[in-house]
Amino acid sequence: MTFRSHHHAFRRGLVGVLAVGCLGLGLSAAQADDLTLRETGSTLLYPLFQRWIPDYAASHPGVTIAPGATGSGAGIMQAIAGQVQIGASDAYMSDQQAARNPEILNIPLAISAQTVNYNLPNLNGAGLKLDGPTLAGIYSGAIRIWDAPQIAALNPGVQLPHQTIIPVRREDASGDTFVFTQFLDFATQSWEDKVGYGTSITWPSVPGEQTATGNDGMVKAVAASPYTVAYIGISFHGDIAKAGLGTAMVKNQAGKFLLPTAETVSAAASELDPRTPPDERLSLAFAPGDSSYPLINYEYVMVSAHQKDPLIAAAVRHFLLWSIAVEGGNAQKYLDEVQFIPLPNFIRALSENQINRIQ
Amino acid sequence: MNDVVEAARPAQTGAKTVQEYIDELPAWSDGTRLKSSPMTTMQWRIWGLAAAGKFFEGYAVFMTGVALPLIARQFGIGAAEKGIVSSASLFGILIGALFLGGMADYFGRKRMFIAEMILFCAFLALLILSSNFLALTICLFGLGMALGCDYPTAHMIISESIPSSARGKLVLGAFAFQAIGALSGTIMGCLVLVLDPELDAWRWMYATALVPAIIVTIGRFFITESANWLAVRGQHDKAEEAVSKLLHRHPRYPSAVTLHRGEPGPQVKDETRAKPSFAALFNRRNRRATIFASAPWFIQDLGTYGIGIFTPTILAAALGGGSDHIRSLSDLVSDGILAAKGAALITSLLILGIAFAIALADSLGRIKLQIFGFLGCAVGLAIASFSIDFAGSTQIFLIFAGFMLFNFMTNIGPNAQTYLLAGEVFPTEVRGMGAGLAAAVAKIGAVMTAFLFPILLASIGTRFLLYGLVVTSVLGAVVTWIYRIETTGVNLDEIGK
Repeated sequence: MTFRSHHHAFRRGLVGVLAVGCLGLGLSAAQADDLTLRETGSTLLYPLFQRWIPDYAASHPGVTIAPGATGSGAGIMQAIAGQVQIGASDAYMSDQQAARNPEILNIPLAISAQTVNYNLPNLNGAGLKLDGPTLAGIYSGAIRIWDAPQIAALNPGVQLPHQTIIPVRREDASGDTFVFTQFLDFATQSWEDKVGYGTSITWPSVPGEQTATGNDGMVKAVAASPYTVAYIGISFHGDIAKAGLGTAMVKNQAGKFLLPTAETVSAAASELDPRTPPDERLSLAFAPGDSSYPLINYEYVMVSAHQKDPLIAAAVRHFLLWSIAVEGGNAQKYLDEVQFIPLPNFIRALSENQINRIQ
Repeated sequence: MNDVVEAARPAQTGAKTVQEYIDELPAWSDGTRLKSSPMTTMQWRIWGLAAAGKFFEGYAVFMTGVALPLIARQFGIGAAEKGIVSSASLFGILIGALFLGGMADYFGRKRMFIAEMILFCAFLALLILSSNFLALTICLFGLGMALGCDYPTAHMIISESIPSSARGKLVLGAFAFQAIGALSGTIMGCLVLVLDPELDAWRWMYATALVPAIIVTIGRFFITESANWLAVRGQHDKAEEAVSKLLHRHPRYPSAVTLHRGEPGPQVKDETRAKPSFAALFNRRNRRATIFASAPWFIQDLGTYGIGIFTPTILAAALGGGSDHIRSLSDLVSDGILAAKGAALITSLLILGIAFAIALADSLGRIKLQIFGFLGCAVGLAIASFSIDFAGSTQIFLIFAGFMLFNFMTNIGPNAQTYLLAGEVFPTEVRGMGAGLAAAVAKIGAVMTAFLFPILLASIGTRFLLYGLVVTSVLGAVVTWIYRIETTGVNLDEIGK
């Protein structure tokens, strides 16, 4: 080995040490250049980003995060296209998307749930019970009337109205649609056989059905029309309560009717966490277990492992590591507001591994 | 073999039938005949290449079972399409056995023996590259056609080339390679999933068969045409040449081959028999053989499907349950590995049963084994049906006992014997069509039961469905007895006389 090569190696090492040191001390060039990270996608995650961003900006000056609520489908597509650094989604990428875009990481940041809400005058406080086959019947047009025998059988003693059911579904490609249709798919053979699941699917045509864009659109649509039923992300629980909508107890795999609570969502997550693969693309819907609420999912960000600029890569890494840290973005003060559940330690470690691959 | 010299030529200036030459025991120089006729290199080559075909059949069909969940997820196909994919190869086997198998009576055994492997390789290569549901279905149908053609063709090419006394052993020995192929296919499927746990793994699974299949295809160009078939078609010179090549020994024995021509022998007596027609299977001479070859095979498929009701319970008890739902690619891969292990377990039973069938077919006789096997299947189904009245460990014990007994008895009996008999009971000129028809009828049974049994199960319940299958199994024994044609050790020339 010559002196020259020693010299180059020394210089490379020095640069590396300095870079790591600067990042470690929070003195990166990114701060000097006032770096902006663009995020878009899930409307369910959007309220959480809105709560995170001011606090993160306060402790990390120089890095600005610009969020957008465009739906999970757009979040995935724009992350793949490189239009944003962070694409947010309630659904993981499909196998085909994952195979075509191996550089895109699917990183869970928290665990979320979904509610089934309805607008039945005088019954919104009754705590209606619904199950997968009944919801599949409603969304396929097989069950059309609120006092249909299938619904009445689940709700003995409830005076159901003899009114046409108006199912409301998402117009945009949505992770909520993915979670809801996957629940129907797992719980109902005929739905699996004929319809399937996805962020955007070919829905059976139901006379009188309505569509809405984003979770806020869903809340508004249900609030505006009596006899509607819809699936809405849990972070909109405040808006749901304000609109006075009913929240259904949903039957889980063990046959129990449950509402989403910290306990029932955690129970479902703990049943399936051990089955999370290293790429973390896993469906949590319709989990086994007596206490498992059946409509839960990981909240993902889609991020390219190969960023164009190492400074941007470092900024993305820092922000995401903060967002999943117990003392950072996964703190109860943020998650409780949107009724999300923090990542279990095992999953947090998997997410950290993936985040550290961003270069 | 060096001490074996030519025996005295038969009195009638050596003129014999093809099968007489094949069955003839070579003699020592002092005129003492050998106790058995050792297989020549060509006979082993034919047998080996036919066994390889059966191997690929088991390999591809069982591999499809492991590959299908991956394919379904990759192409996003639903239950209806999955059903179409599953039945595509079965339907292909039906068409292949019925039409391509029968073509061996027109174009010769060797030509179809080669053609089916070319078809197999071509559709296998296309299957590996297929990118959508339609292409996949067409390729599996094409593969099925090749395998269907092989049902009668492989049997005939072996049975028309080997001594009558060892026919049962050797045909069933080749048939056993179907089970060995199935076991290898599932092990390979499992191995590929472990090494490459990705959606595309199914392509590698099929790809592992391609090069060996091409080698077997090339090998099939270097065998002799069935001398039996050539003789029946009146091509005596070629038939004599084929017998010489088939029985090529050092020192040569027989040194010269002179076949019966013209008057004697059943083959050329009736001109219409040299121009085989499908209708001939239903004339007075062949009707019995047609019923005997087809009906028990059909009945055997009913019972096999019936006992299949318990397969998930058996596998869950033996290997543990799979995922509640496929929630990730890892679930798909681990369930695939579990399915492969399950298939391997079932195939082991198949191999065990067939091993007994090979050992007993030529000594006990086909008819006894088939009747005995059908009755054993009935007992197995009855034991399994009793499990409905019990719970817990007694229920699992009864299901296991019934399942094991059924599988052992069907493989020693009807599963092996129906295949063996279908290729033996018809005269040479319609053997391909007859064996092909029998295989096709059996596959019609399989297709029908696949569609009808779920409906029956829902309407009459498991108990009465199993009782019904006990009755059909007994019926299988009765039909075998009534229409029996014992072929054990019988010269193929004598069959159909």
